[in-house]
Amino acid sequence: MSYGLRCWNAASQLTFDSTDAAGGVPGEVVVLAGNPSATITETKTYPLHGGRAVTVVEVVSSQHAYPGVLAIVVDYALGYPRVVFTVQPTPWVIIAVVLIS
Amino acid sequence: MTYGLRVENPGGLLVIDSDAIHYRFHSSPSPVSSGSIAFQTHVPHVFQVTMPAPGLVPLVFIRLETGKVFALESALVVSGATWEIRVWGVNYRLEAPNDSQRNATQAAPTIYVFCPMTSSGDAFGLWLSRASGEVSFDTGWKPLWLRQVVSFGSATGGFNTALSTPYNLQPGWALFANGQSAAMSALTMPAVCGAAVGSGEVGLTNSGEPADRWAWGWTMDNSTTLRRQRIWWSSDKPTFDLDNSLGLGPGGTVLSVDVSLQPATALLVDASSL
Repeated sequence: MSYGLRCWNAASQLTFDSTDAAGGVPGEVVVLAGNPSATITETKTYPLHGGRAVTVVEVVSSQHAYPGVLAIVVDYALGYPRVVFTVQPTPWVIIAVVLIS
Repeated sequence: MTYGLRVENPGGLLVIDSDAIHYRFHSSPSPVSSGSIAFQTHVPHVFQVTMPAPGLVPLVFIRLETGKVFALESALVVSGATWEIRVWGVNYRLEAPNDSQRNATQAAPTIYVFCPMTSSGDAFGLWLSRASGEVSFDTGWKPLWLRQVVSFGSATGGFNTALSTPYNLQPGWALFANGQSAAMSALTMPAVCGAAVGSGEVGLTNSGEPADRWAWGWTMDNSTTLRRQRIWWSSDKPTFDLDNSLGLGPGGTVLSVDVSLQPATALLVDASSL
């Protein structure tokens, strides 16, 4: 290791290594409680992370529901990441992680 | 960022940021009730975890195992900071045309729960906080150490068939039966987080029943192949009975099978470090 950051715990166990870590820190874990009778929209912005990209990973998904329940749009028009979630009518709860890299 | 700490990996991607609340390992709980599989019934394993405070959302990783398909069915608050986590597990075997997952057996998942970072109280190590004072990273815990992010593209497949047709020669049968795979790097004990989003339906010509829908889960073929794979499930009428759906029982004759996989992303950690 010529550069980077490694962390060990008190038991001398390696618990983090920046040289062997996939990119992305959790900017937010978003819980979208679906409405069975209405479309919901939620917008999240990350003004502290201008110049960074975001990846949205569905964790608990719309697989209970039918295709096309969740739409995710990412843009950087504000100079920092913005994510718009649109959830079609569904009784299910969707959870997604916004990774900032 | 005018102050604080950011660390990038060799690819220039962010891996630590004092402005972001990182996640850390919470626990690997045992189920409070085991799942079961019976004809037309698939009950997930149920776990419960209590987060450090109400409002904190758990991230759930499931250990990958060859020959077994797992999927996170739901994660919901049951009371205060306590969440109920439901996970499907199936000992997977290739569907033969006249085979059925009515014979499938339950596979017990091992899960790893992560929660937002809180102070460990340790007197040494690396400790970061946001401008607001919230702890964002603390080596006194085991931080969430993402090892890989594997992306799956969309895919579609399907087939029209009749009773006498050899299903496994039909276009789209491979996607229907075997799912979709992607390369991953070998990890000692890989665990996955992410929804293996997929959907599909079976149209029945003469029963008039609603279409079947399937959940999808994760498995690994070997140490370097991650796969998302169909798990029988239906929002309308729970069934594992491919035979019925394909007209060998009272369900009717299959008109078509359509599978539509949406893009999905899998986050991988190595649970051997937990």
